[in-house]
Amino acid sequence: MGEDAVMSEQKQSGTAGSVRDTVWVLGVGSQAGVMLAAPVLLGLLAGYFLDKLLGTLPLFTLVFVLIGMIGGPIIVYRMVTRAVKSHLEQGKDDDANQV
Amino acid sequence: MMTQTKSKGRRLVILFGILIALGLCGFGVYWQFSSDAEMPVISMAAERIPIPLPLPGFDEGPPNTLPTAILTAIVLVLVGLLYSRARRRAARTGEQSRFLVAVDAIFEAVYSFAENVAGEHTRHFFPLAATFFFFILVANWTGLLPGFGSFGIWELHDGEPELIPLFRGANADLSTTLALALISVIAVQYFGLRFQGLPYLRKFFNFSAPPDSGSLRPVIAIANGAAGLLEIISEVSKVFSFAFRLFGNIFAGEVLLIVVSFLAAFVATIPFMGLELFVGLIQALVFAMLSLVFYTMATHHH
Repeated sequence: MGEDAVMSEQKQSGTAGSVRDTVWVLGVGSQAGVMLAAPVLLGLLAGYFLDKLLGTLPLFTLVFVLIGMIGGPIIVYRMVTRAVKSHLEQGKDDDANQV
Repeated sequence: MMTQTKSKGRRLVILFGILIALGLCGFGVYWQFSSDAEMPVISMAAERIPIPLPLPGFDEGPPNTLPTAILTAIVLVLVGLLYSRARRRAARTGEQSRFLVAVDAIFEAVYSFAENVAGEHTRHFFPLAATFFFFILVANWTGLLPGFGSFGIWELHDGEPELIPLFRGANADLSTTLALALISVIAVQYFGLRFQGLPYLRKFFNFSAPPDSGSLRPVIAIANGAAGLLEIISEVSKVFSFAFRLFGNIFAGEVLLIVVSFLAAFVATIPFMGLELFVGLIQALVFAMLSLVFYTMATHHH
């Protein structure tokens, strides 16, 4: 009887964990996807604004878009590695709590 | 014998139901081709409600997402007030009402989910993250009620009559989602400063190099400075990705529902309504959970 209760409890926390993991993957994945594109758009906006201000039309737009294109993947890499690290640490804490 | 007639009756009811649905479908298709029903103009920005009242801050009239946002807030505040009343009554009589138990159950489920994600600091993050979750969830689901996007005022626009809907899902407006994203990302900075203190700012402005780096010292310092610049860009792009994901999902859902309802009327939209219910829940969950993930990441030093 006691064993059954423990089993069902483990099963329950397992489903909760898998729901958490699914939503985590959905969230971080979609976040990473948009964060790849956002710096390019930001660079475009900032560069265009500067160019309009200074009257040097293609210069800053091109430079900022290039920076965005290079920076985007780096930002995504840093964000995802950190998120995975903290996610794994969290999972470890949960396991420790269960034992 | 009894059960047999019962199941026969049920089968008949189902058959009638299917026939009525098919008839409605056919009627819808007939109506579409016989009348010159035009597809409504899909506008990416929230339409302005043309009311003669001069409201401060809204020169062209308030956007039609404003009533929905206020409605959502009213619903949530009402639930809160009713809950506190039920709590007080339960404390007085010692008897818990169904409403109290239901709200408690929902909150416990959300809290245990948040605890699963955020761990030890859940207590600090939960109020904000749960507010995000419930606001986005209720706003998404109210956007699916009948009358949203279809009930409005006809207005002449460039010489052609155009329907200005009075209601539109609050998150189908970039302003709402941008506001939510700004609050969330500013809260990340707040929690970072609160749990790490001023060293949190070292993430953004860091020109130091380890003392044993020797002649490479200036290079490492410049590299660290560039990494800090990347961190600033990353925080700003977080705002945009939060805002655009939510807006994109909900707005795409509205466009999908309009297009499907004009392809095949009545019954064909029902599965897509179910899909939109699911998308609304998932987007609310993702927004709240990502906020929690970023708050948790801001609390410890890397």
